[in-house]
Amino acid sequence: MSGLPQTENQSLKIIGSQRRFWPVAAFRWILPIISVATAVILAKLLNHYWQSQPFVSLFFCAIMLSAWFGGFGPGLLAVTLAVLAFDYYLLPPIFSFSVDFGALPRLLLFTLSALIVISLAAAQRSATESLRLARDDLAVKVQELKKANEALNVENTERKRAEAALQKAQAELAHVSRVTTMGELTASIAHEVNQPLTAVVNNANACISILSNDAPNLGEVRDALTEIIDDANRASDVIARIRQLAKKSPAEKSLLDLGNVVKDVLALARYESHARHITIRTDLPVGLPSVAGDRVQLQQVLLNLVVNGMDAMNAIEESKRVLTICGHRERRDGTTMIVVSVQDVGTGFKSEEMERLFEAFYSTKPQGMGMGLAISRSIIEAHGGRLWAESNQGNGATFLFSLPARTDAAL
Amino acid sequence: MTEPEPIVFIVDDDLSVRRSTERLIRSAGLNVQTFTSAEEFLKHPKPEGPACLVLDVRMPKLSGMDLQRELTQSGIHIPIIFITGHGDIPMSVRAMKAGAVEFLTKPFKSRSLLDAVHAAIDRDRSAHKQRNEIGELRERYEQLTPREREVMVLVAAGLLNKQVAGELATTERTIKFHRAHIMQKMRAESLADLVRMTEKLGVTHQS
Repeated sequence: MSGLPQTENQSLKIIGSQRRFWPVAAFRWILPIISVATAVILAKLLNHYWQSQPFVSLFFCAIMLSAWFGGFGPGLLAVTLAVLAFDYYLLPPIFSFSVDFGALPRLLLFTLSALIVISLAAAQRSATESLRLARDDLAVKVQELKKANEALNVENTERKRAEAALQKAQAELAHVSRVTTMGELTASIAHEVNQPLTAVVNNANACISILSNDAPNLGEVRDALTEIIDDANRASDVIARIRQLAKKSPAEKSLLDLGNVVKDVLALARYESHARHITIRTDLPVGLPSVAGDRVQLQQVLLNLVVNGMDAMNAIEESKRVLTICGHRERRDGTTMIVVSVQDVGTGFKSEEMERLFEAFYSTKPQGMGMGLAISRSIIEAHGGRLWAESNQGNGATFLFSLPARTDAAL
Repeated sequence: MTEPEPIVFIVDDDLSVRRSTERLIRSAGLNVQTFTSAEEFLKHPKPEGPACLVLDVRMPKLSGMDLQRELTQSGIHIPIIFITGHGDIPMSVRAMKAGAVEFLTKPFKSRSLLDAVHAAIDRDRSAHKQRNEIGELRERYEQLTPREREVMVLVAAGLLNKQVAGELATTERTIKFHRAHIMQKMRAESLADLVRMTEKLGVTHQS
């Protein structure tokens, strides 16, 4: 029977041990002998006590049993034994293997019936067997799938952990870069705090002086005190803005007016630009749609572009140093984008340098870390926008970024 | 003749600092005039009396240092007190060399500023006086004829009338005549007085 070796293989696979399989195989081949022998003994006993001769039925029982448990091979063995026993015990001359011509049809009929029975039994068995096989196969497949699933889960967790670690590292790097950029503006930042402090001290001393007069001008004192409060608030606003930029905080999206973001950044860079004789021009139309984004991150991008632009103009004549920041809206593929450009008239870049500018650790500045633009680009891309550079018609370069406009409150 | 009231000029682009500094100096009893830029100050007519300038170093366009240079080039002498955001030593050295009175770092002590302002005004007052004196001397000197100027220089150099006459190839009598005119026109009371005047005018004899 062709299915047998396969069955054995499959069994082996499942059980995984050949030793356990051997008794089953042996039993399959011994069963026909035992069952036919039992049939002969039963028939003999019945014949002796009841004078009945149920040889045919008993033999069929033995054959069916053998075929059922053992398959076609053992069934055939049972048929052979049964035919021999049938011939020996039932067909004249009885107790002899020789067959009379007259008894031949009976023997053939018996053999034929027996063969049909074992065929049917074997077919039945084969069907059952293949069903079991399919089931076992399925069990193996399920087992494999479960294992694969587990492996996948482990991998997934690992990947998630790696992603989280990467995100954390990126945030750290962005923070370092932000603080480094701010470091270039320390003089500017100190100035922004010192201005109101100077005014506070001046006004307070003026108050003391006025109040020591015989007829103090209280109106003047009131004005001075009002200005003191305004200046103290101005100083604390500057400090709050710097703290916000310097601290590590998770990204938080809100609706932002890019004009305000530009204003915040220029407030920090103003003094530095004066010191370097750079004129900063802005052209951000009122009513430009808002964008959804993290204020600190977008401030970081602008701060980076502004500081880069100022640095690019170090080598050119003071009177010609102009940094222009423009904003406009653009419709692209059905979405409205806000495009902000920061244009300098500095030394500019060669075209082959353009793409390298955004690579990590690539810097044209002697003290540059080379992270600013790489981080800026990843920030803008995370906001669904694009950051790129263009060479100017005249001198210098323009850095542009686009962000999708948002008019609704949904973030 | 009464001297005009001293005035303090403040040039600072920051409104708060400008207003508060103005109030502080005014509270010390001085006249103040403020300007938002160096350009605005340059357009303003220069004061008659003693004055000083409180000047922010860092300003857009024309900086404090630029203004100082501009004033020196135009021959305008006014003591300058520089105010700066952060103590930049090379810059302060340059400013002091160019004639600044004081260099203060923000936020400065009010006392330091007021002291500096007073010192600057005193300095300007005496400079004014000196400048007035020289101006007057120069006016008198302008009235001399070229010949008289030549004679004055030689006389002030200590030459005798005879020697002067020899030098200029003329008679001793003519020199005496010139000398009397010079003393009168220059309103010099003695020869020593005349010598001092030539020194102040910078017209001493080169031999």
